[in-house]
Amino acid sequence: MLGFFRHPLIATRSETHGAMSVVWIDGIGCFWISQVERVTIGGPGSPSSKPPHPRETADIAILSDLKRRHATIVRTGEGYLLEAHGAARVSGREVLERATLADGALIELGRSVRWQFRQPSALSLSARLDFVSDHRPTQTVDGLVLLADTCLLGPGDENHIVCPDWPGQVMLVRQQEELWCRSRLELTVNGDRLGSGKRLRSGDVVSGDDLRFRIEERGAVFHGHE
Amino acid sequence: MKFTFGPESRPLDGYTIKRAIARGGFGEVYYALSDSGKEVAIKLLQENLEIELRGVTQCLNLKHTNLVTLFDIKQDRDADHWIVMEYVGGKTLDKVIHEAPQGLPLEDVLAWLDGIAAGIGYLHDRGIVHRDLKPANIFRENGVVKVGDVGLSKFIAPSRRSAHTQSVGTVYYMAPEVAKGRYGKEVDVYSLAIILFELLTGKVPFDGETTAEILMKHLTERPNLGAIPPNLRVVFEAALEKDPQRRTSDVLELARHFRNASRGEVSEPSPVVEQNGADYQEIHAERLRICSQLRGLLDKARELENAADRDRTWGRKQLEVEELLRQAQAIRSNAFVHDERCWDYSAEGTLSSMTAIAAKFRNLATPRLPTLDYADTQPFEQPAASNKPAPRPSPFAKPAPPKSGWDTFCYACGAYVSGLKKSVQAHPLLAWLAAATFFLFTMRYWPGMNFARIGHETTLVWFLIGSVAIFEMFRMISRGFDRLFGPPSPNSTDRAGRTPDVAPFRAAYRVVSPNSVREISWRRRLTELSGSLATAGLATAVVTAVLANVEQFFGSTALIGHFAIGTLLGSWSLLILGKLREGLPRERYIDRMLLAGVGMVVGVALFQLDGWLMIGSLSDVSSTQQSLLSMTGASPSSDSRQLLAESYIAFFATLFGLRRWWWQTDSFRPHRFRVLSVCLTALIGSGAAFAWGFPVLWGTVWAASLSSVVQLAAVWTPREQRR
Repeated sequence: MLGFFRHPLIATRSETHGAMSVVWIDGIGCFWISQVERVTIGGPGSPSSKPPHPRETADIAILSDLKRRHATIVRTGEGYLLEAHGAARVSGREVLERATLADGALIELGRSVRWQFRQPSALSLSARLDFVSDHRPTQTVDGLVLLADTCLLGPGDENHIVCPDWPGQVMLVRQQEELWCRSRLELTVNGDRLGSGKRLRSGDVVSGDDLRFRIEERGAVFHGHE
Repeated sequence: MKFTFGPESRPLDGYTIKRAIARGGFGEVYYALSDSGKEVAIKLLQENLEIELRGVTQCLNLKHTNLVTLFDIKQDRDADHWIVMEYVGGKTLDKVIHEAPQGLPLEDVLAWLDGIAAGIGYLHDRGIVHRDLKPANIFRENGVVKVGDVGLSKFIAPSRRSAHTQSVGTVYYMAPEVAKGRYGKEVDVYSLAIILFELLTGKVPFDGETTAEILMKHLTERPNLGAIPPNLRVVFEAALEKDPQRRTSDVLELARHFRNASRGEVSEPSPVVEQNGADYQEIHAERLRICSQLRGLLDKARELENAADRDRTWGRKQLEVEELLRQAQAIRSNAFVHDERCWDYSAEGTLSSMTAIAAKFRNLATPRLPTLDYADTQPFEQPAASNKPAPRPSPFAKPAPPKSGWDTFCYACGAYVSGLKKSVQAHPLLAWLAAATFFLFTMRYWPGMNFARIGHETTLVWFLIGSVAIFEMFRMISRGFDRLFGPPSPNSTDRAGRTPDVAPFRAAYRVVSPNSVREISWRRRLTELSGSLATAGLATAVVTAVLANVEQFFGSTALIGHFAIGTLLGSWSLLILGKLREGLPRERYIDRMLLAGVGMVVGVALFQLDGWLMIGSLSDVSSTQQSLLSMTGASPSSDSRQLLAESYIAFFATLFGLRRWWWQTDSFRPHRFRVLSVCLTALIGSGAAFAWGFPVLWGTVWAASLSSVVQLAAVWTPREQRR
């Protein structure tokens, strides 16, 4: 009976490993692109967690005093929901279970973590999370794209990733769990011409006259090139 | 932009380039990760002039919050030099100016100015001149301004105009004497003044088509200060003086003049204090004195903070903390009036710690201070004379509560009704008792209720239900008024889902329900439990005493004792179980099963007590004949006027198991005392008693008193203190 008086292990994590890509853009920054429908957000995993429980941390583990799984952002057919497992507010309102996210909504998690939810393009369901407070994962990330169908990179505000000095738009398109790159610009992928579009694999470098970015699977971050 | 190195290349051992950041005046800058994951910015020096390297080497070990930290200088395989430095995210001042073509608001300008002046002032204090101050190498990350490219400036001469050593941008900020090749720290004053000009107006004062044209303007033309606010013009005239000897001599002085002038004060040129001998000693002594004073204040603030964290009295201690902060800020303004050099970085750090503590108190205390609720809607206006930095308008400031429809109604009806509503809200129990008394005295006149014909026990049940009904009706009417005629709630969102950023910040204590999982130490559980158990004893005594005065409820003294012990036993077991499970993840059915189990134990105990006191029967065993037990064949024979053990056990097990008792015992329950809960418990009690052949009156009253006692005794945390 004493078992009832103990906390159960908070574990279970959505199966998303490998579905998070990282884009490094010259002169712009580093963005994470998540392709899954449920993205969990939480604090850092405990350093003592050993291989039997490697998945205790959230998909987006922020260095903060959040719970290990503090909230989940869920993409539905029409929009996005925030499911709170800990203290959370959306646009100043407490979230008891879930709340819908509209463009511009301010997400506050715990005492101090603040994000802004943006859906810059009316044509795409994809969304972006901007960091408002200075809490980040272990390394600097400039934004987080929740990829539904397409992710637009380009000079205007309607793009998911705004790259002010670029001559035109580049599109990352999701096709059956694969990421494709399309653009009207003269671009190359690893030196080959982009043409009408190419599938991107982890480690590919897309470059053009005034732009260059590299995409990689998350988790490859710490590997050196030895 | 083309960069020499691509992503994932490793020109330096131990660092992997992830992306290019920018091309600076001295070379390409990349964002790189060390093998263990440390993020750094690495800069390739394209011309390895010895003078350049010497400059950087000098600065390698300088430490200041407002300077970008240099980690190391390394050579790659091609003998090129790389500088490894702190990676600073955030925008460059360059971008900020670009986004605000009409200039920045004065507060922002002051924030940038303070950071730059502090960083450059520190450099000057160490005998180093930056020489290449420009918006492109000034950053702001998390509110901290950082000046980069320290020690990197080259010998800039207009004659050497090769494209990649000298970007045009630099020329805009270049002091005239640089062209002559001799310069001191006045160069940085000039550059900073130009940056300030650009921040205020969005344009640089000397612009032109070519580098030569701009340089010529620097040398000869007087700046057009027409776009500058009149009170600031004199500051710019002094700082943009062509002759370095007559220019404002120090960046900190420029910052001070600017700040004073922006407040409309005329600052006297500070007496020239030579930094040597006795004078320096004096300043040093003053610094130490200020520091020790501030430490004292900070220690006090920390003590208050610890005390408040312990007993959660942020509201009561907030004023003391604010007073301490005020004293610290007074010390700061005095120091600045005296000599700004007395105010050093450790003093600034101590002050910012105090500000942080005060901010914490403000956050935690605001919702509980009614005076602040109404008065704090505007950010404070700072008296112009003090040197306090204006506090940012708190995002947690609470709006004035809207006038509700009920309030309007009350206003119409006069203060009497309004007072009545307040007292109902403040003392629900008293209000309920008042309603009950009213009902008691008037019920014989109520239509359709001929109480003469029904027995006393039924009267009591009717009395309970009726009084609660009246009470709830009053509350519902009051709420309905608010909902019908009141203004929309302040939290309502507009169409874009945005709220005005004024709603009280509740995330810190959002956890409000007994279902919230939280950590409570065993020690605290025990302390709270012992208090509750004692209160439960007292409450039981009161309830029993009240009931003992009700005519014909108790037939004998033994019954009084039986009732009291039963109530006490029941409430204690509910409180103990509730406290043990408090804060742990709720398993609804397991909780109910535990409760039911405890109920059975209580039932057994009370049955034993019943036999021991030789009560035999409670009051009306005759009503037990039509019970579930009798239908299942386990009924007592009608002639034996004895209550079965099964009745006891089943009654208490049902009463405990059917009700979610943790909503009454948990310290996070929505209300300290809820009459409706008592009422519902009484209802379930009567139902259970009826079902199991337990005397209905006893079942009802026992359930109601258990619920009241438990709610009165259990610890309750006010909503705003929950965390």
